[in-house]
Amino acid sequence: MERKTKVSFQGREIEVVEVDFKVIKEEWNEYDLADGTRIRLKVVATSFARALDEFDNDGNPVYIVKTSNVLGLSAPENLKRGSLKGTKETH
Amino acid sequence: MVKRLEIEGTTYGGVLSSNYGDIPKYVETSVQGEVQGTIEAPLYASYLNVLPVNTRGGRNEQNLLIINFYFAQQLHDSNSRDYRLENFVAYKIAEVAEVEYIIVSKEENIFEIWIVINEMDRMVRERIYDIEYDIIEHFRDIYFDFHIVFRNNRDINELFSANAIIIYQK
Repeated sequence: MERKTKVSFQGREIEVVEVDFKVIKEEWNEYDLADGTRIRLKVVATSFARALDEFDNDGNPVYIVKTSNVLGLSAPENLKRGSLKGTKETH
Repeated sequence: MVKRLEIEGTTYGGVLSSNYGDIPKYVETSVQGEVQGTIEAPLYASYLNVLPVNTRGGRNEQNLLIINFYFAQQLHDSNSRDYRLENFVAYKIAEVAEVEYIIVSKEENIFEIWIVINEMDRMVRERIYDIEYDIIEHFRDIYFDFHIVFRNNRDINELFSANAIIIYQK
């Protein structure tokens, strides 16, 4: 069931209707950093709402999408708190 | 007087006068119903169209009408401490006002989540189940084991050991 509500859009309040959705695919993006850390990033869409009286230049309705970034990481031991990084190596 | 605004979408000052649609930012609607205003803030324009617009004097003149002048900032920072998965889980579950505590234990891709409410309430439990289902749908590669715990007016410390990680407390 669609539910009307108001959201902030370009500095003003507009009326929108929330639209139910089903997740088809949300992948993790993965990045290897030069310091040896692997970062995983996922953009999670948490709600979709269709503006009732706003359209783009092609005539499509404007959708407001709420998203959240979720990050995960795997850092090398030498970057973790308490590691010996920065101490002088002796032989 | 309507100043011309350059096409290249950079920052220009100018007075805008148009009867075409809503121009929401930096402008006001005059008592005559015209939209007027001064664009002083940075202008992010995808493109500008040349269309006839009414000037303040009422004559139709060929002026620049800004069709799409507002670009929201597209970049934002996320940090790996505040944007962890457990924070997302806590944020979503805490939408249920009756949730008092959320405790987490994790190992690799396995998350055990204890959600504490004070007393058994089927409606509240159903709402929490819905959110759990949503979370699982977003993170199909993660194994979640959710538990709902009824506190029944007991102290939280009676229910969990001191080293339990409370990620949300009402």
